[in-house]
Amino acid sequence: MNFLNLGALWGLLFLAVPILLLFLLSRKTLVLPWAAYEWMRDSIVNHRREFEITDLLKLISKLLLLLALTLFCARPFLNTRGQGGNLILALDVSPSMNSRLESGTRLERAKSIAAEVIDRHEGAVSLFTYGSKLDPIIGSFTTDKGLLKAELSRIRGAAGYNGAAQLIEQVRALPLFAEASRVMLLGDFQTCWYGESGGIARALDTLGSRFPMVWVQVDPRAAPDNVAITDLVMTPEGAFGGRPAFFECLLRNGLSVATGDRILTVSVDRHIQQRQIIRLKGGENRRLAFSTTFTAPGWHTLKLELDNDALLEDNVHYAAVNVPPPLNVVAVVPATHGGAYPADLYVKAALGSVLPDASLNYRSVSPLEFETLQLNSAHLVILFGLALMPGSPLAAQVETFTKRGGGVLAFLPAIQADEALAAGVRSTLVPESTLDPQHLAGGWGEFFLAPELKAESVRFKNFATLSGISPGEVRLVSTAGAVAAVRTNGLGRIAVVGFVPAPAQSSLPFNPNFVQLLLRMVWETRNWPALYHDRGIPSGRTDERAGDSLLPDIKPDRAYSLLDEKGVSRALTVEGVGGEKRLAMPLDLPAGLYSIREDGVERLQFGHNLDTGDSLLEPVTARALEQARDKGLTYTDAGSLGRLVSRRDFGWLTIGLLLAALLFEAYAHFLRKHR
Amino acid sequence: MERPRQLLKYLNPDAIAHIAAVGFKPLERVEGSFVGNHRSPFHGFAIEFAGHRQYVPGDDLRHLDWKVFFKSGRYYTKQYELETNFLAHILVDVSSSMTFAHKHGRKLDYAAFMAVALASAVTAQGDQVAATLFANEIVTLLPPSGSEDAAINLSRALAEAPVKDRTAVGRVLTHLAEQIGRRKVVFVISDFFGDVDATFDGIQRLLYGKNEVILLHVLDPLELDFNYPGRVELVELEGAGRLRLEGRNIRQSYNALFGKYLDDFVTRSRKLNVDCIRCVTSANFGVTIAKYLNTRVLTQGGRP
Repeated sequence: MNFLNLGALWGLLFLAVPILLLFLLSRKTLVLPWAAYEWMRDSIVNHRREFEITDLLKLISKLLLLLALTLFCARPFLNTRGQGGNLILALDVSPSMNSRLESGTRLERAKSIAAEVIDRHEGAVSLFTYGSKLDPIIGSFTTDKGLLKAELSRIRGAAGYNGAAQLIEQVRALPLFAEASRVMLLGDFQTCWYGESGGIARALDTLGSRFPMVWVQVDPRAAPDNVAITDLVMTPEGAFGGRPAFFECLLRNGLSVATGDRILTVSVDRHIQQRQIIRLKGGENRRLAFSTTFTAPGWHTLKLELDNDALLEDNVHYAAVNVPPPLNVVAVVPATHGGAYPADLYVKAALGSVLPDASLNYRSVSPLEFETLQLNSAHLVILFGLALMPGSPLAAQVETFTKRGGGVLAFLPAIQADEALAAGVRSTLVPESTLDPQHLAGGWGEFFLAPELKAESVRFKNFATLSGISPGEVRLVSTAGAVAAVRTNGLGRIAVVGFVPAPAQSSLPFNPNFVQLLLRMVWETRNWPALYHDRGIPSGRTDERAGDSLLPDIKPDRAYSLLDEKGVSRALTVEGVGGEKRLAMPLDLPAGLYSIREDGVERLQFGHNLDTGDSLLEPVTARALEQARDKGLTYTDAGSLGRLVSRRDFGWLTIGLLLAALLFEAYAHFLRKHR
Repeated sequence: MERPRQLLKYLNPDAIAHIAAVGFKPLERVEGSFVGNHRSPFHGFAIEFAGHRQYVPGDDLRHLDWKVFFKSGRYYTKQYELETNFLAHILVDVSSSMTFAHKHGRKLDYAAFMAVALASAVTAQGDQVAATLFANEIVTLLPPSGSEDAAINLSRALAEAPVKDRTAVGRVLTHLAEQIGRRKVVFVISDFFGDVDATFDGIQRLLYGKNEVILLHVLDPLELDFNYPGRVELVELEGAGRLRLEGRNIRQSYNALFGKYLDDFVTRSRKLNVDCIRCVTSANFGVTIAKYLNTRVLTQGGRP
């Protein structure tokens, strides 16, 4: 126990006063010659013990009264971590701190608690925020409470988050850490933030032997309801004008308990298109598929929205979809065949069955025609049973076309071993084989995993397996080896397939899923970026396409600007040198739909979303903290904060002592009155 | 050469006037040495005719009733009520316990004032007073006297009386009962702290001689109600005992015990048909005695 007014403890000396008074008064006694001695003597003999008790009770009562008065003046408080000293105060400003409480958000509550800590703390304080990293607000220790509170009020939420272990290491690296007597973090400390619990303990070890680090949980709720939209992907079939495009959004229940009914709303071009009722199990991550039809090529907006819960920021996901113009296909069929080529007819019919006429221009040519054909308007070239021998005019045309950004889908002839060679991919003739569904997952053949399909349902009679390709380029695998691969060549892509989709060579064209397979092959070789969205710019993750990395061909002499949905524009600067130029996006960009303009002309649109990495709002469990506690970590909540900061007066102690004094006095009075 | 102040120390004219105005009249017949205003048990020759008795040789012929002789031829002597004065014995306790004083002076002084006032009032109405100062035995004995000097002598005796250690009222009363004879008035002024049974034995001996006994119980207010809140060390006046105590703690139990003693004392007095007047030193003694005497007059022989 410490005391705010230590000098008042001198008042304890006054405790000696009643004792001395009792002693002195007992010595300074009136001596009275007494006549009725006999009766007085008898009275004392009968009641001697009670006199002693009442005297004692009254003495105790006086002592308690004085003690209460002294403690009231000394203002005691209990502080297990010591009083005063230099305090590093850091507030969590990650997106999860926007979670709403009964009044305000977690961040507002953290600021309120921080203000209280600043008020009560007797020593100096430095102020930091932490999201993706530890940022100084007041990077040196100060006792100017006014300044601290003014800066505190200016703190805003930020995007990005980081793990607890990294944060502790950043604290350790602070120059003023050596002068700090305590570090106090105010945050929500979700389970996801901790990572491995042993890591926190190890990180705490770096602070020194049992360094007093205090984590103050600002959210008193055990399980704040929260479902987040964490991602949005387009299926590999791509987006074509007039044809439904398929998307999958990833929903995550941030709690270990099941949700109630939640409504997901999908809006296209700001018009609500569909609603779904969803219900997630505890901790479930679910891919939810939906489709929408974009009638025309060009930019379209997509907005997914969940109904209200504890954290609104992760309930919405914005994206822009750039639907490509109608697909111009040039099919090259062998000249040896007179009339129609069956595979060509089959592919044309298959594409025609899924793409509207307006979205597909299909033209079949002979190799000879192809060699002299101007391919400026073509998007895709399909080769049927033609070997791409190096040095041949056909191969040269294909090489040129793909390097300029065109797509090639080459169904290789399976006639002679090592005969087929395209884009450096060698082929080997295989008499007969079946597809192995186990090797199809993640590639074009995912649909073969449908339970109604059987592996033996797809057979190849004469086909080629591919070699000289990396595992990442393989798309379709048979029991004999890879039969389809995609390789980037220049700005374009070339897909090499070891069979011709004709009945004589494979039963695959008769499979009802072949159309889907074909569409995936077409979309991949088309190489058209359709979905534009990100998941928080500063998070540093590499698997996202943030707004600043979407725009190719950035020229430093052009003026770029960012326009939001309300029409507010802000200038963007070009960063980097050489071919690594990029646009510097604002860090405080709120979630929404934006467009990037180059010299006033729209170049692209994109949806900007907040990082949902820490939207798992469930607070850490006691078990996860056990190891860390042993290293000096104090995990507490705002309600128990009083014992960790100074000036926690023990008013109840004073009142208790007064009550006890009253009780003793009353009991003494009772004894004297009734006995 | 005695100083007048010492002689008149306990003479209080106001109190004497109060008491003398009411006067003291014995309830029973008294035996006196001289003719007085009080009824005597003896018959004699005076103005109050009492009856006839047959003449016997030796009777004074002046009291023969000749009218009866002429009518009946027999000699009868006329008899008359004898009226006499009375002798009041005033017994004053001068033991150590009577020296207790708190805020209202010593009980002994209070008793002395009462004794002198009574003596003065009695002699003023022509009766005689004898005084006895006692403790555990008789200390001073003043012979019967009808003169006004009796009060002065008593005052002087009280002023000079040595204070003895213990009270033995019973023994003194018993001894006195053998000496004073019959039909006297006895005032006992004391705090009666001592053997109560012995005290009442002595009173009974006095009553056996048809004496009228009046008890003047002198008490200090602090003895009646021990209202002293602080710490006090009590030193026994008639012994060597010492008690250290907190006044507020002892008050209730002491008051209860002492009250019981007083109630018992009064009850026993009433049983013996003896007047017991509680004289608290905080009250004016003249008023206290006058009030008692008035009550005697009003009740015509009844007890106050």
